[in-house]
Amino acid sequence: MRNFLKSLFTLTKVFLPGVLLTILVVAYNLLGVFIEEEPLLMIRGGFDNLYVSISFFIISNIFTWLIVGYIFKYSRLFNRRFNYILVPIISTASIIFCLVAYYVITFYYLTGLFIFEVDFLFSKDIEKSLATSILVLLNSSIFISLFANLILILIARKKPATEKKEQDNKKTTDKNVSDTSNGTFEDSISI
Amino acid sequence: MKLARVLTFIIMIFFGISSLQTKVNSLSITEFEGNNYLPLLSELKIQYNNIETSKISTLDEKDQVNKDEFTTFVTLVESANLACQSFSNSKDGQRFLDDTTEITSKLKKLEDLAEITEDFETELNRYINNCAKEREYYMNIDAINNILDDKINLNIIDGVLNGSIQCESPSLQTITSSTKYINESYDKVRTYTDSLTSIYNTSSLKLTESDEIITKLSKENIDLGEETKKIMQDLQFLKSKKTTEQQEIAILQRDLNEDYQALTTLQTYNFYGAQMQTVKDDKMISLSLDDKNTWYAFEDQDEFFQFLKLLNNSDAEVRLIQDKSLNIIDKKDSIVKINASEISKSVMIDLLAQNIRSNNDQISKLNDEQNEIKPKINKYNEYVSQLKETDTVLRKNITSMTSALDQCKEYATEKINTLKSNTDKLNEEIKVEMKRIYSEEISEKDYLVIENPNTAINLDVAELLRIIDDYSKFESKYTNCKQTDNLDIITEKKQIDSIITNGISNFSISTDPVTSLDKYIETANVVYSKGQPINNIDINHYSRSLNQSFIENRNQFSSIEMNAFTITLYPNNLWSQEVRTIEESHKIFECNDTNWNEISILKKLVLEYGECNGLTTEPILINYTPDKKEIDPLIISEINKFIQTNQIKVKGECETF
Repeated sequence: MRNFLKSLFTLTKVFLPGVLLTILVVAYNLLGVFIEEEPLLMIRGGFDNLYVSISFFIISNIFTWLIVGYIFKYSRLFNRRFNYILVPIISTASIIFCLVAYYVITFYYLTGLFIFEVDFLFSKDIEKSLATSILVLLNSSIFISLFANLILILIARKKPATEKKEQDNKKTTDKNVSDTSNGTFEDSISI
Repeated sequence: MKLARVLTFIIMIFFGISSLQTKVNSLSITEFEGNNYLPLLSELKIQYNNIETSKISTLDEKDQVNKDEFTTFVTLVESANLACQSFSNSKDGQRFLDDTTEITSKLKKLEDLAEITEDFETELNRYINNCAKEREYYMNIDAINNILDDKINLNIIDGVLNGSIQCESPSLQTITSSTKYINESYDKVRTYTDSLTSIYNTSSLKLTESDEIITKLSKENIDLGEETKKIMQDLQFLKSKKTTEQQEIAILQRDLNEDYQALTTLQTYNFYGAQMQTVKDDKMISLSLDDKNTWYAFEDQDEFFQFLKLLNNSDAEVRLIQDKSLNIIDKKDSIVKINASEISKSVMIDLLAQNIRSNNDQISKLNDEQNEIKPKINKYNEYVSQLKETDTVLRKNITSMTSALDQCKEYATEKINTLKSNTDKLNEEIKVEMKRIYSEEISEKDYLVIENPNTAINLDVAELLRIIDDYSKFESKYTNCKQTDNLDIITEKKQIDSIITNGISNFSISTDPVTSLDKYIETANVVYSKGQPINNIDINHYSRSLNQSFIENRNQFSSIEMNAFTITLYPNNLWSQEVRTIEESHKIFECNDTNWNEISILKKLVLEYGECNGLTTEPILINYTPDKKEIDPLIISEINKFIQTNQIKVKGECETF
């Protein structure tokens, strides 16, 4: 049971970047709506100006990875060499999935229609800017995700010595402390 | 008088009809197979006359057919019917065809005439072959009938069969000698009858099979027609369904437009309209809620957002629009399926129509074949019946003949057995003597038949009767002997002595230069032969006589010549022969009450001469000079020397018996 729960937490941690990024996107979109006073702007990045939206998106991405890296100890996922490949792929895919889900839900909430029930035709200009922005958003998201994963892998590869020291210290100071100090989600929150 | 004329007229008509009836009964193959070559010949004539001379001249000279040749050819072909009457066998027909082929092969080299010539040649070949075979058939029938249908011969056969005429009758032997000829002729007749029967059966079978196939195809066509009809009905149904769907789509479309109008007053577009609007950049964005049927176009973001807000507030209307759109889409899909079904059914109809057409073509071909066969089939049937009737009569006659001959063969075998049993009763030595004499004087082979009557079965009746006749005459001398008849039989031969005798016919001479001596010795030889009745005589007698003749007739030649000359002495026909002395043991039999009784045994010495062997010898040259004085002693001396050297004993010819 304990192992199962442990695996479940680990799995949840993989999806954490996607969920967190979506929360941040919702947050800056709501900020935009608050500023611009137009709820429908949520379907085009929260701000009338596309560059602002993109900037917020990239910043959200970076924040997301900083939070999952430092607060939620994301790098502990790389305790096996096999995860070096699997974790980046799943986390990146989860980011894209969460963003798409966010967009579909937002569209339904704002219009009462699922986006796939509606067909669009765009003028050349808007088609170009839309394509560019989607490309930028997806690419930046994927790139930042993969880059962050790489950094976190590198961190995880250096970490064992520090961990050993910590464990030794703990052994000497308090023998009654339980063995749950190997980095669970709850522990991260308490920290 | 008037009545007599009327009667005569009626009788003439009756005979006319009778003769006509006879002609009708005797059906000919050429009558119903037709002379189709004649219309083709007419066509060929027209085409030949119309052909440009330049085209003929392009051919090699040997391949060209000039007008005269063509006219001769036409005349020949036109006389085919008459020529046919003179045919006696298939070879005659082939000869006629060879004559025509010479021209047709040339005509075929002209491209314009090739096709018509080919057709013409085929038809002419058929006509001539049919005619020639039929003529051969009749010739063979005539040949058989001439022997077997002859009243005298029929009477003989009947007579033999009922026992009133004996097998030895010479007339029967005439028939017997013709059996091989009759059988050969009948084989040809039978081949023709079988061949025509086979043609008739094949044609008849073909007609029946064609009928069956036509019936089958017609039934198949009916089934295919039914199927086509069913598919047509399905198509009709699909069409009506499609119309209904289209009508429903139109209604839904109208309703949808109304719904759109109820939703917003914004202008709507179809897909192409919306595309035009957005592509030209007149509008920023277009949106469709009903699967690209109806489009709204928006100039800017505000307008678009306003519409989205409207949608959010009119959820029920939007859902209605979408339901109707989906309904329209379903119906359009249904129409697409109906179209696909229509296409597949059209293809099915095409395939069925193709099958029906193919069946009809087949039926048409079979009908054509039947139309070709049908007019002839009855005639063929009649003709084959006629052939079979003739065959039945012939078989009956041949069977009678065969029965008569078999009966005679049986009789002959019995007779040979009787003769053999008679011979077997005789003394063994007499039998050996009989065999010797019969083999020498008549035939050794025939005697083997008498000794083994089982072999008689392989001989024909005429041969058997001849053997019986010969042997009966020969045997009667031994089996039915008269009182006081004697038989001297050599029972044993023993060789006592054997000598080789050399002999010479005579001597002749020639002189160089010629003298009277040349002819003198020939004359002396003739004189000696005339004066000497015994053929073979001691050679010394000859030499002495020659010497005496020289002395007595010195006045006929110069006994001493003044000049030297050459004399050539020729020993004529020098031969050698073995002469054996044989002791023969004879038994003498005397007939007493038709039985032979041995009365004495004798021994006789006889001479037997061997083979004559000719010996070669060189002429003897005598060079005479006057100092040798008399000539004749010289010659006689040389002759005696030659006789002694070659050990010649006899003057005369070699015995050849």
